[in-house]
Amino acid sequence: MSYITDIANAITSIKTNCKFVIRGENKDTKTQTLNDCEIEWVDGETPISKTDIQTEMDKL
Amino acid sequence: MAFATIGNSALTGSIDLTSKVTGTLPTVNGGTGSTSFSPGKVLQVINASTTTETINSTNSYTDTGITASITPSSTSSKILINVCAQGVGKANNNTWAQLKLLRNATDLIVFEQRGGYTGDTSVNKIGACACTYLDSPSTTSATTYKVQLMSGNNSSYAQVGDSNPNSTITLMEILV
Repeated sequence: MSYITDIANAITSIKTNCKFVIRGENKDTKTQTLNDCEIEWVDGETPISKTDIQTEMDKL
Repeated sequence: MAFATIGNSALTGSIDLTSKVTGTLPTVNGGTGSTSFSPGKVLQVINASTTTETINSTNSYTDTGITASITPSSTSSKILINVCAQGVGKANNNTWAQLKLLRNATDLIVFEQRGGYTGDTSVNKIGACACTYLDSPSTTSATTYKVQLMSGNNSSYAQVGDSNPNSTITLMEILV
């Protein structure tokens, strides 16, 4: 599973049915950070902070 | 029925096909009766690949990064498009990946209608989805072909490019 998939899983863990698009280069997961990816909040979705996403990623 | 005439002088040594073979191919032998042919030719090939991963949790299409551009040399040319979108799948919740091919902003075909569909909440990574499409763009302007993705059920997410694969798109201009 990719780092970008981990981000998506963290977002949906925080908010089920959250509306977003993530794009990023698929690289070695050990070297990637949230800043390597573009997160677009869609349909008026309230953005979730990268800090909160990272915290959730660390939990999962 | 005459098939072809080979000049006597050509029966020894090399045969000059440009002047010593005349006549028409009979249709009974699979010919067309024509005296000349204009076979299809590949005029140019454009290939692009990407390791971009795209995740979409909505049922609005978004670009995947699978894209390539070509400038046809004639308005009568056809463009043969081969797409291989790798790492396709869906997350939990009852959704699926839907992929479509576009020429500029024009929809050409939805080539994956229910990617990864399970009818339940299980995760399903299905690997590659491919498409071959013959287009008639009728232009000599630069033309961009691309693949877009959406999550069919607008619940949870669908993705392309999971786990570091190379997705590819190849464009071939065919003279017809």
